[in-house]
Amino acid sequence: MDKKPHISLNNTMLKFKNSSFKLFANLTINEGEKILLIGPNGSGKSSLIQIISGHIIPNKGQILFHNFNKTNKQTKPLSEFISYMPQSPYMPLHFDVFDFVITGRFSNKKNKDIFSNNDFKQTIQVLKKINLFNKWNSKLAHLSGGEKQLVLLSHNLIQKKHIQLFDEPTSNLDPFNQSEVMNLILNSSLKKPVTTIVSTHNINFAWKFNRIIMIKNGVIFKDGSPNKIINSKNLSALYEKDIKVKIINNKHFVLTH
Amino acid sequence: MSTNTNIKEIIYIKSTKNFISIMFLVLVLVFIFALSVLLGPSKISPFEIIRIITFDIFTNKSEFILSTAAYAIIINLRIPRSLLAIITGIVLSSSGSTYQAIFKNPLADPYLLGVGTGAGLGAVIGLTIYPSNLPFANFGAALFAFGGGLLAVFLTYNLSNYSKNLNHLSLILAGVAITSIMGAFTTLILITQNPEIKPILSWLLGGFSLASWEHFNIVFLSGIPCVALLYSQHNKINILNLDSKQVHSLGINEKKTITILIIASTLSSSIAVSQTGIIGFVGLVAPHISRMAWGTNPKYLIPQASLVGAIILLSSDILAKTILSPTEIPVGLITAFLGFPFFVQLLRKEGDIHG
Amino acid sequence: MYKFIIKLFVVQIVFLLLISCYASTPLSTQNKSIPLNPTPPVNNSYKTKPALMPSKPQSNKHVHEYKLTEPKQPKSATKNINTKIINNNNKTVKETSYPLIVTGTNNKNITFENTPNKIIAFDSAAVEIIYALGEEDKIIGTHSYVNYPQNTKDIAKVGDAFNINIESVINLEPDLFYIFFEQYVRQLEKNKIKVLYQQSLNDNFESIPARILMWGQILNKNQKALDSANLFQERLNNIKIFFQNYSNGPTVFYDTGSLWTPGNNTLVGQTLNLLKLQNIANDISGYKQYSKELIIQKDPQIIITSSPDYFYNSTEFKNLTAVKNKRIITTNQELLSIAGPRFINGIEELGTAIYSPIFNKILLSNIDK
Repeated sequence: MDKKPHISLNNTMLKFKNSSFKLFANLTINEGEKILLIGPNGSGKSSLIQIISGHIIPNKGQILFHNFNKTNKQTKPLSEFISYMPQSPYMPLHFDVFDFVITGRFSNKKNKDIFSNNDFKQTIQVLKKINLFNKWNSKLAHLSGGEKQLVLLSHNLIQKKHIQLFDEPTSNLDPFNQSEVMNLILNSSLKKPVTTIVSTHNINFAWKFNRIIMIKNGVIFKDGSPNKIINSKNLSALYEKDIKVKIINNKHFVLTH
Repeated sequence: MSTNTNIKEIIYIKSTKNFISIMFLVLVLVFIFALSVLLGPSKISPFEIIRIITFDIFTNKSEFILSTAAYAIIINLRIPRSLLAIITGIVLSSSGSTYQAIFKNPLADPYLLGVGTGAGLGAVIGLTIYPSNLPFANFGAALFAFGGGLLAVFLTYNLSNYSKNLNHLSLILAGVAITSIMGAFTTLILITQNPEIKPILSWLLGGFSLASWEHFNIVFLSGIPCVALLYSQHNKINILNLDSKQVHSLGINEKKTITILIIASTLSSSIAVSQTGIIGFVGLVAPHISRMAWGTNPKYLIPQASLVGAIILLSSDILAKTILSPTEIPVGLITAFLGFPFFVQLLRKEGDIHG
Repeated sequence: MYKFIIKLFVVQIVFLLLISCYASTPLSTQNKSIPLNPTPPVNNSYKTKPALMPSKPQSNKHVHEYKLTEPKQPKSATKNINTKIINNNNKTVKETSYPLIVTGTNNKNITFENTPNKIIAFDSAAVEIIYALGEEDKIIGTHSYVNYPQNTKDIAKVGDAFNINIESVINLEPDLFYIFFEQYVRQLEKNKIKVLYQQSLNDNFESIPARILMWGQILNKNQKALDSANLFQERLNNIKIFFQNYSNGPTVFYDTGSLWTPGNNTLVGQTLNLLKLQNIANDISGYKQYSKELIIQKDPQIIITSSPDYFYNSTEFKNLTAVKNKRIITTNQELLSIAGPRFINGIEELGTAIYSPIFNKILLSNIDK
């Protein structure tokens, strides 16, 4: 498969204010890759994702988006091809689920002044996929933490962008939901290849992805396919704790204590 | 397909209900408007009023025939005054609802960024320099008030770090700072320059007692385009309720959008205040009542709040001109009194939504 | 949540205070009426109004209804005029004998051992009277709204209309503090200052001569005071005698700015009465902002204002009699706002503006002052 480089981070460095922490990133992401970002808390996962989404501007280096619709990134606003699901954003509690999710359609529309029947249809479909349609009228204030996260996820999915970034999308969900959501994220129904970057603490999902990036202390520690990267040695070094990877019934399991 | 029935159901619940509520509000407004033309310090019979109005609409006007006091009162005083109350209610409420959305704060009102005290300072300066001129009809003092309002918001915008960071809080704090300093200067001028207190006091409390077609035209011609601009952005305003990062991801330039909204709102409020004085509470209470009753989507909220505001202001004006006849109570006082029970209701209900 | 409600109540109270401030007149609230009863509206001496279009008879309920009444025959007034002129021409005027006791409005007796030399006259009328008596050098302080005559700008200002800077008062070491409202009396007395409090003459300009005489006594300038009081009274009497022969004059609206107008229980209101002018704002008390509707309905024949352009340029007023006949008069309204020696100038100015040339004739018999 001829992979086209999609995003390059060339020697980017981000220095945090009020702290000596620095994040270095020098990597190339190919179109259609499904990347899992893992690392201990505070290692820089969120910041890396936000550099790619455009929310944070690095102090040094540059990000380039190549070969995208044969035009340069500069002429197209990032919002047209990147969607970003933040970790725990402020959610306006007086909104109802439907209104919240339908706002995701905003960036795709030509006529930005009004939501059309098509937008309504898309919203209904996404809500049905997530199994939240029966609560379309509920105010966000009346939902549980997990349900709010699902709503946030729908808001992202409905955007159907080429590059989709998810910062810990399953942290509040029950185990079965987590699995379903991860499948939803990775099996988009779009015709074009979707580049997906997900950060999560649940390493057992690693084998659904085709590339793993491990970050430690602001530096990319390991980068490669799950079979090569996910092993006891790397994981233990990453988290500085004893972690084992076992294979049971042909499936990989990550065991922590 | 079931999705289509779903769509219809959702559209019904969201749009049709709101549309019906807007029609209802329009009916109430028309009724109150009729009441306001019927009532006033001088007693004119309803038949006379109808006769005058039909005369005015359907006949070629001629100076000689129309020299009745009743005609002058109805056509040149009551009707423009009521219309002014309506348009002022619309302008202040749209401004208030917009600010409540973009600052994500239910306590925002049109004077958040200092338009009110800025205009007050301008008017006091104008009335001090030209004391013998009446404040409203006179272009000078109204112009000062308008300028003062714009200046205050300009200072607030620049004082806050909004140009550098996207920080709503800094804008609000700057608004508080500018409001207090402008208020201080106003008091200082009142104490040291000894201008005529009475016209200033009536102005600061706000009122429609000196309203005429001129005032209405000015507020109408400036207010309608600004309110239309605000309404046209209702989708964006709605999305501005979301987290900053999400707004950015959807491709909305938050800073630019908010700046434009602030400009439109400030222009219209400033002109309204220069013509009517500072009328408080309406811009805060009307959006709230609408939100509590019908929801927060600006697509419906802005028209609903505007109508509610117009109804409140017009009703207050009816009270203002009739209770202590022949003198008038400033409208701002009555809206303050009316505002209180709504706040109490609000305190009870808001707990439910955020709880 | 309770804190919020408490804050709301505080806001309410502030608003109520504002209402009471603006609603009540700042000075006296007593309602002394002078025995001059205006007769019902009769218009025979001045231009007729344009005919009203016949309209359905209006119901009798509301007080503010306007009725067209039949013109009545002119009545000559039969009242007696207070022609008391303090006539002391025959004797030489006595010097003041000290100690002199003057009673203030609070029924306090103020004793003067000698002529006071350092007076803080916190009252415009008092300042003008003292100047008229030639004793202006004795004024060491006053309030900031005083601006007549010219040299008053050099006098130290120890406060504005209702606030007094006690420290500067003490620094000036006055031997008399004259004030027209009661609020600071106690505080000043505690600081060992002699305070004479006399309520301002809100609606009784007839007492002005008496005040002049009082100051004459205090300052031992009795001859000058007598002359000044006599002149005032004589000019006043001339006017009263003049009006004996006339029935009521035109209806007027007296605008002090932004449609604020005096009721009948004010100095201006009483002046209008004196001049036989019918104040259309006879249903209010003190100074209030009058409703435009009622101005149109009552249709005054003359409007007295400092901003005639406002009335000329307003669409709603274009059919007013006063506007059509161009009877909008500007006078120096300050004259009628200070109950001092210039008050009579104000009366004469108003009379001349409205009734000339008939009125002027009575003035020519006076020595101009």
